[in-house]
Amino acid sequence: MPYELLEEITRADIAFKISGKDIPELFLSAAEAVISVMIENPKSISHRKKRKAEFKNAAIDMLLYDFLNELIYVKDAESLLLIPKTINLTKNTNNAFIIKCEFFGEQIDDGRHVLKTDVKAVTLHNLTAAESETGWAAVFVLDV
Amino acid sequence: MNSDKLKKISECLYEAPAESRPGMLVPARVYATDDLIRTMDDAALTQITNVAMLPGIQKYAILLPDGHSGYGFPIGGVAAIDPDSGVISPGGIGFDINCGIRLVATSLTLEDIKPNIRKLVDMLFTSVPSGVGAKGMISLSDKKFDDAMIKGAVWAVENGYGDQSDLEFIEENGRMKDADPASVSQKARERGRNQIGTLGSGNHFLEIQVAKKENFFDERIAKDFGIYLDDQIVIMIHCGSRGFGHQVATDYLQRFLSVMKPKYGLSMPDRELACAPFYSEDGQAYYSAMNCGINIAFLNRQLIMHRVREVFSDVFKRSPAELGIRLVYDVCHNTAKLEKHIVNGKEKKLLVHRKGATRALPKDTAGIPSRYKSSGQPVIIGGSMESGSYLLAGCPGAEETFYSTVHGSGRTLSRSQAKKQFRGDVLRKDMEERGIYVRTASYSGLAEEAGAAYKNVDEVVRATELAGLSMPAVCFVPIGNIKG
Repeated sequence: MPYELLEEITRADIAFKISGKDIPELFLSAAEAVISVMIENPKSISHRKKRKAEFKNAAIDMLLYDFLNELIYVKDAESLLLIPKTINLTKNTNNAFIIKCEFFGEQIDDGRHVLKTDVKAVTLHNLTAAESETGWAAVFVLDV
Repeated sequence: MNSDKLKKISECLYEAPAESRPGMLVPARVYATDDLIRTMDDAALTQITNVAMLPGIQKYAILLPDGHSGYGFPIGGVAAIDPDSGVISPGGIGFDINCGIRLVATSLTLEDIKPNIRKLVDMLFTSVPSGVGAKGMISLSDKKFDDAMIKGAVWAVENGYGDQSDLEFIEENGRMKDADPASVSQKARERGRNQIGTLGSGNHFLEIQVAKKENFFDERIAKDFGIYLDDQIVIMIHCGSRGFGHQVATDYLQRFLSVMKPKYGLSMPDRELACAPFYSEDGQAYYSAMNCGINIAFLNRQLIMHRVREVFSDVFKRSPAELGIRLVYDVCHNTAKLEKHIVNGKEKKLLVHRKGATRALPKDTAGIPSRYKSSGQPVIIGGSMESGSYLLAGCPGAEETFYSTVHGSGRTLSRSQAKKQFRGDVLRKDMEERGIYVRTASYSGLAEEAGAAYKNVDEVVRATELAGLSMPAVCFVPIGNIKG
């Protein structure tokens, strides 16, 4: 599994451990985990809408924080469920990480999307993203 | 929680001394019976001892009997901070700014309502949007949204969503004064604009409850609060500031994290405890944005109550006044407010952070409705959807907790543990057989909120009473529930 639930970090909220062979894969898995909290059947999300976005941060964990918060923001601001399709990672001259992302998705449709939990935020509690033995690993807690 | 690490002060009070961890400025105090402390998780103790490290914290970091781990602050956490020398921390309020609970009384009884309970719950489920992606009953232009941020429930009443008399029965009369929309980001506006008047999900609910004869503990106080009939019907609304408040917290958490060390030389053991001096530019900006969040949550609950009035009126073909529908009280759970408290024998202005905690003022205190002066401030404790909820009154003993008490029963199982043990559709059927009719936007969300995932609310209330933090007047049992 690219993501697993962690029980010991928080009782009220939802904690995930994510893994990926590289940073883009890590971020794709993290997005999958967040969407899996919002709806039962993420595969039901069609490709009707496309969206591009760019995120920049000197720290990978905060880059992940910004990236995941965008998914939560569009869910509320535009009733949009977005899933990242591609993520390209580069570094700028200041050594900050930049990811250019392509998302697909559609408006929330309670006829097709089996709705679960309205995620409030990605928290900074125990947030980590670092290289691991098998590639990259991250831990984050969602406030629900 | 392993209580061996704690010093027992009295029957319901444990303490981790300030020397127990480096960096603690004050002791951490845990209010719990022996039974409750066993159900608290160790992470909650770590978190409350982290809170004891916040600059300017006074007397104790406090964990209340319904406490459990959250993020940064534990749920059920209280920290009173000297605003002149100390900080404000968004993590001490939470993402759901002014998540709170509102109790509405009716003059109906169980007998009146029984034939219509399904119809009522179904209509409320339709009228009060809930769950992921739910859109609210109003969508505000920028100008009106700014007004709403400043005026909160007052804006609702001015715009026809409720009665002037409602405002007296809301904490802070439904409006925080130091709210400045200029401190609120465009993102927060966009997230919140379409969600005003929605319930949300998670542990948020709208419930029809009944006050059974055997569940009155103090008839005088209950009567003072407007609960006086055997089998009287009440409605409880639990929700917060929705995406608006969540984004305000998200924005300022990032901002505080980036400035706390370089600008103010502050560091904390958990980034969720990011903070800034209260009287700094950053601290004041967050405080004024957070007050907008508090006001939007007051507005949200006011609009939902308005819908409740409409639905009851439709079903019973009588006006809300004829049905005796009146607001008993509305309390905040997630706030930081400037209040006056006694520290070392002197009155001091303190910034009291309450996260998953309720203000509880004793009788004859300024700030509570005149009707309740001889009883104290109503305290509403939402139990699980299968157990019961309580109405209590504030007590003088809560001086030690900066007049704070519990807000709910508190979880014993994580959400995934609950889902492993319960199935939402089975639970709904089972509850219906026991006389609780449920509508939900999500069966998996329903399973997460199963009664067995929560502490015994009766034990939480017992601890609260034993500790002198608040005293029970009456308990309500659910008969109809809407879960987000």
